[in-house]
Amino acid sequence: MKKEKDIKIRLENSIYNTKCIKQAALDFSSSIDIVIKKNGNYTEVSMIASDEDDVAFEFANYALFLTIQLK
Amino acid sequence: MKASIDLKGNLVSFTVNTEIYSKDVIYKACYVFIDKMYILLDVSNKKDLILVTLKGKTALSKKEIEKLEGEFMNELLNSLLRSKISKRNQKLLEHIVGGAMGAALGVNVVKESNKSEDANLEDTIRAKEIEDAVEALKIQLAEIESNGDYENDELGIRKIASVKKCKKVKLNKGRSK
Repeated sequence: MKKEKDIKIRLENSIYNTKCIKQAALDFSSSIDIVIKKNGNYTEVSMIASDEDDVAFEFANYALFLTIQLK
Repeated sequence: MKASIDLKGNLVSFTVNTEIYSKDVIYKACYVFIDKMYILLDVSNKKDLILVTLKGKTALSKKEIEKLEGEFMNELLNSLLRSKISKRNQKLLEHIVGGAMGAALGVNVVKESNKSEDANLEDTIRAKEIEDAVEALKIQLAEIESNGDYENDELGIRKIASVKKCKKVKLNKGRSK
């Protein structure tokens, strides 16, 4: 059984659109527990997921994808 | 710009100068690789630098990770060149597309535009005529004011005033009755 961990990732607001981060969080929320928090110039994303999966990178990738698509 | 490779983490990190590669160029390059690898962008501590982290979706050797970085840098250059060319040719493209659209829309548009141009021309001529008439009247008035005595009443103002006065008196009389 995979061990679940609290994974955190910080996304800079001038690079990642905050709306896109929210949308990504909404899309990921069906499969994992996710919390987003604004902290200065960053948006902190906390996820509870298996450490073996690249959830954080997956999330960042998806947020970047949405940001680029919005441009 | 030195890349740091983390074999355990299966990733490579390096900085990109935004003075050379704009943010849009970096986005474009990222978009090309977004399916092949995980990309994380962050601002660096130093100004005008963006920290790029590339992570392979499968376990990669050191050479493969270096290759990832090289490919990304090449794509950055490609995107930069493409954006510069598109900026340079933007007006030409607009002209070509505009011409094509005009041709596709047909002659009606040209006719309509000609009609509207004619209407505009007529309006301007009419406006000019009115302006000329007003100017002529002004000159006439100035001449009267300078030459004539107001007692001569060349504009016939006294007549109008007296008629109005009569009407008022009649009305007042009617009300008093």
